[in-house]
Amino acid sequence: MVLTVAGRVGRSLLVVLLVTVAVAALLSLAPGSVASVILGENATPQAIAELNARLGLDRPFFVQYVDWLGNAVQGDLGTSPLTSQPVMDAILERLPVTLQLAVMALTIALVVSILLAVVSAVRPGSVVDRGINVVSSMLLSVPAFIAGPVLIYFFAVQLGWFPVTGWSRISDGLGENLLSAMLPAIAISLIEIAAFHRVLRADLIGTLREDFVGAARAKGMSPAYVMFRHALRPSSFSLITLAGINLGRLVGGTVIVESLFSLPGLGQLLATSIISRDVITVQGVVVFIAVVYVGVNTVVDLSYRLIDPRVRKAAAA
Amino acid sequence: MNHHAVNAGRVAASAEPVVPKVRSARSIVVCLAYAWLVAVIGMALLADFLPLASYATPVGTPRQGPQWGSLDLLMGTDNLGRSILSRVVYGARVSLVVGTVAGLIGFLIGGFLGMLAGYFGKKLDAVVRLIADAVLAFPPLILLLALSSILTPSVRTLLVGLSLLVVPTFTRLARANTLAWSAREFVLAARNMGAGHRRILVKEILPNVLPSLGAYLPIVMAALIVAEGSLSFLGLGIPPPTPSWGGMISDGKDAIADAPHLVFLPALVIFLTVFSLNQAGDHLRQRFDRTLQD
Amino acid sequence: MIRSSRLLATAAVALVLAGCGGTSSDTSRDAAGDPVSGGTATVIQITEPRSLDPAIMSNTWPFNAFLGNALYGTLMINKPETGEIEYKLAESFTTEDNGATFELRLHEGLTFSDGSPLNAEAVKFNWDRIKDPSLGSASIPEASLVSSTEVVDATTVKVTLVAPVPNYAQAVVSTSMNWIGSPAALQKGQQAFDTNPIGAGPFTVDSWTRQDRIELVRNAGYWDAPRPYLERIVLRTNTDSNQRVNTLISGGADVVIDTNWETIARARDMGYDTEVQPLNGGQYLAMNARRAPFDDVRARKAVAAALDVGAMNQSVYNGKGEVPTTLFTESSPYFVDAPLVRPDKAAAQRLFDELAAEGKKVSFTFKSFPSPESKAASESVQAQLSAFRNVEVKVQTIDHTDSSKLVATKDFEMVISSALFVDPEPRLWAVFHGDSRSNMSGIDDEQLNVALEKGRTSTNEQDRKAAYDAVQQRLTELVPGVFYTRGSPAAVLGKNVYGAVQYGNGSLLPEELWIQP
Repeated sequence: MVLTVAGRVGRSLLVVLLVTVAVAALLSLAPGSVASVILGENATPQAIAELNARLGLDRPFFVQYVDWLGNAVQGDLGTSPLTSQPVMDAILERLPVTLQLAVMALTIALVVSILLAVVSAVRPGSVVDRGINVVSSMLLSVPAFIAGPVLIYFFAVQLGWFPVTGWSRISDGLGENLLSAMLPAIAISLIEIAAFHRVLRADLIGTLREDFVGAARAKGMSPAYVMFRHALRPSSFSLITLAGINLGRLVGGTVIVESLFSLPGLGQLLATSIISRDVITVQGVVVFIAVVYVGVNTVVDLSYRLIDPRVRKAAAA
Repeated sequence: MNHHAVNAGRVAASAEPVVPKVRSARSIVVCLAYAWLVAVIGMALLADFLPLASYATPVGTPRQGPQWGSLDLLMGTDNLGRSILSRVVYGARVSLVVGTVAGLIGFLIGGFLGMLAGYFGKKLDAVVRLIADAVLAFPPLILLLALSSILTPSVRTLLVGLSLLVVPTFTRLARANTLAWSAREFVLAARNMGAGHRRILVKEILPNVLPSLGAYLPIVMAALIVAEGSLSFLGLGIPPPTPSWGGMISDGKDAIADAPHLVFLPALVIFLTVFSLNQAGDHLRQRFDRTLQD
Repeated sequence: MIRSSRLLATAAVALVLAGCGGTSSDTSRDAAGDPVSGGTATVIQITEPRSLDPAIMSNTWPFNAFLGNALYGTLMINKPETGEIEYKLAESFTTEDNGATFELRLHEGLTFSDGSPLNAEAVKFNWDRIKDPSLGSASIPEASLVSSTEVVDATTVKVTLVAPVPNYAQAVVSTSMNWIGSPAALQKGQQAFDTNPIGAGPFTVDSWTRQDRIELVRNAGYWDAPRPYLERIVLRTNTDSNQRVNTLISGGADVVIDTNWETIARARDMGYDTEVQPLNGGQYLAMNARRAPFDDVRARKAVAAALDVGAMNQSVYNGKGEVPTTLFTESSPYFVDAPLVRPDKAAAQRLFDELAAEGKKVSFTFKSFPSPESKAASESVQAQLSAFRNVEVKVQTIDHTDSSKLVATKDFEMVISSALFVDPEPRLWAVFHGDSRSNMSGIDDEQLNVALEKGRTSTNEQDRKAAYDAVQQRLTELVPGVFYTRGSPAAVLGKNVYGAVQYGNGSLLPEELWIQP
């Protein structure tokens, strides 16, 4: 047991390490440096070279990386040369926004998609199922940068139910906070709903044809009971896998939605840092995202065993 | 699905009353879906021989609505006064290539690796998961940006970047499902009967993993077609004036209040394509997936 | 057309004052009375600064003009129609020797928000500092016209220029030289300054959460009482023009700073007061005369004659933009009613054919910025020219790092640049003079240089007028670029918000804003 835990932690660290090395390498290949962004259009090549030297950006990328890693291991993610803000502060400032958006979007997506998938799977090919299929295909065809403005137009501008843009912190009141997060969360969740629905529907239809479901039905259990207590759990492997991957992704922020609704999330931080070649900040955010991603997916891996006892047995065997 | 279940399913299915009405409606939809896919692919291939205006040159004033009379103006004009019909037809090339090729690469490589990892476990599993997790934990934005600044933007660059992004999702999906199926009785039975790894993977596990992956494939293809549009803001999009459906949506987004057709016509085309892919996918599965055959 | 709404409002104020003198509770545009103190305004700006350092912020409306004016006030402003200088923190800015040296006088007893004195020493410190290349100020070209600054007494600074520029005050109002920060606070470094910036402006920073909001509170010690009228300002940032105006419409904002003609028109159509400061010049497609194909004037002429600027306006701003046919707007004293380019498709095709026959086919890459407007403009050029033979356009989108380097590298064939100004000085010189580093098109023409020099150094209006007439004449012959839209420095006001006053490059003054309760 201790060994498995140690192994998992080791593996997770390895993933994080791989990700940061790859980011450092890729960014070192990208042309331009934060120095030319800081110094702007009036910069002389000499001033840029001086600033690069002062920031230590003239060293080979591997030296820079090892240097960064040494500090990061001690919990020091450095300070952005662009904003003079410590990277950890910048991340923590944005984390509540991103986390709340990701969790809300995923919750909406899971609740809606499970309901839709259950309804679809009861009678595959029925009018209802096909109707839901049409809707989910529609959701897939409308990207967030269109869904966002359309949602804003109807629910914020016309109906006035939600604020158009901007973020209200929880300290401003929970109600306002939820209102400001709702439209962006919905905009993010639309594609997830379609994806989750389709995957869960396929797995549910499969499970419903299995012996043990037939047996449960034969025992006279109600269809709803059979669906939720017997069929849903073993059908949720793909769903849980996708949800885990997507939660990890969403913690990385959703640049388009965040900038559309002007939300101060990690996605905007990452995007502006990449565009301005603020490598220190990019590294910090990436390492953070990677840690969260690995954590979430370790939980997902473990949950396979909880969901289906058969996997537990296989793993034990 | 194991063999007993299949038999049980057959019995159950044959005992159920046949409802012809639904079937015929369904088959009409399926026929229409195939017709749409054939039409889209056909138009993409034959675009040069169709009597269409150039997709690059304006044919009239900008942002005209759809109208009868002229073929070029059938779907109206875009922000620059170019024929939307022509751009939709030519745009099918990039969009279909991006969706299909990147989607299929992800499906094949990802599915293959995931099945191997889930089935053999141990070291192979560890390595595959390590790489898949590293790619998934890697913010896509950085990957695409780095690729766009190292390579010049083109369809090929786009394919490389997008395929890289979808492979690990398929890997994880295939692995999770393989893990579940390889613990089942019929796999054990096959193994006890002396079946080799390859036989078990191909004959026992693959048919059961395919439906989940197959259900996800149209979603990925749709997402890729749409994502190609949102990439243009990174400078990784297809260089203009070459049209693509996602790019057309992206170009029209600021005119959504005045000229919604700039967005909704290409979105409708994507929708019809995605819906047709879904329908065709369901149909093929019913025809060829032995576990679902009635 | 643009100023009409404000003129109307002013007229209405005069009427109300002459009539009953009272303020009405009616919130319609015409019922504004005297400015009322108090209230919080949410203002949406276009870009967030990376630092609150006055040297780093840019005094133009798409960037940080509003915020800079809020934190540091202004030394002086100019009237957008005439360029006439009006003094604020400064008492005067005068020259005795036709612009070789200037004397800047400050009002007595000015203090920063922490109580320390805003004196000649502080002005010298700030102005010298802008020139420091390691800061990366956008105002380096203008600040570098100063060769030395010298403190005469507590309120007087003597400024010596590298060459005489009689209208140097215009350079001050259009750059961050207009903003003076506390030297002591600035010396503490960027991080400390960003948490606690010290200026003498109408507002001070209460809190700043990056990419979320900057909260400003009234500076009780502001020199120009009773201004500022507002008690607090919440400054948010959104880069999407449509969503900025949508936020205003839904009541989520009181003032929106905007730059897109189409959304400005939408807000105006919905009955909002939209103030667009008139600016001469505009945005233009710079054609790089340093390299092929645009080193040949015929290629530049051909492209200029081929392009339909009205169609570009249709594509980029849905036809709502203002197309510059002349260099100066009609209200400018330097206005000449001579079009900059004459569209002539047949002539354009002849030139394209002629060049191709000589083996100099017009084939070029348009480097486009990632903004929707820039992309629309570049694709419009590409689409329009695709109707011609023997011309080929590629569009390449470049990101922020590449675009900031373009001024230094000049590595482009066509790019969007801007020449926006109230007074032609110092901007027109910077854009078209052969010795200027900011000269994107690379035009270096003897006659043009002489005319620009004359415009810069002449001290009487007649000579200046003659000089700029010559500049315009020469620009139509040389075609360094194609102007396709006027600048659109806009402030869109909520229904009960009044007092939008702009100067320089659409720089909005926060101390003048007030809300009718």
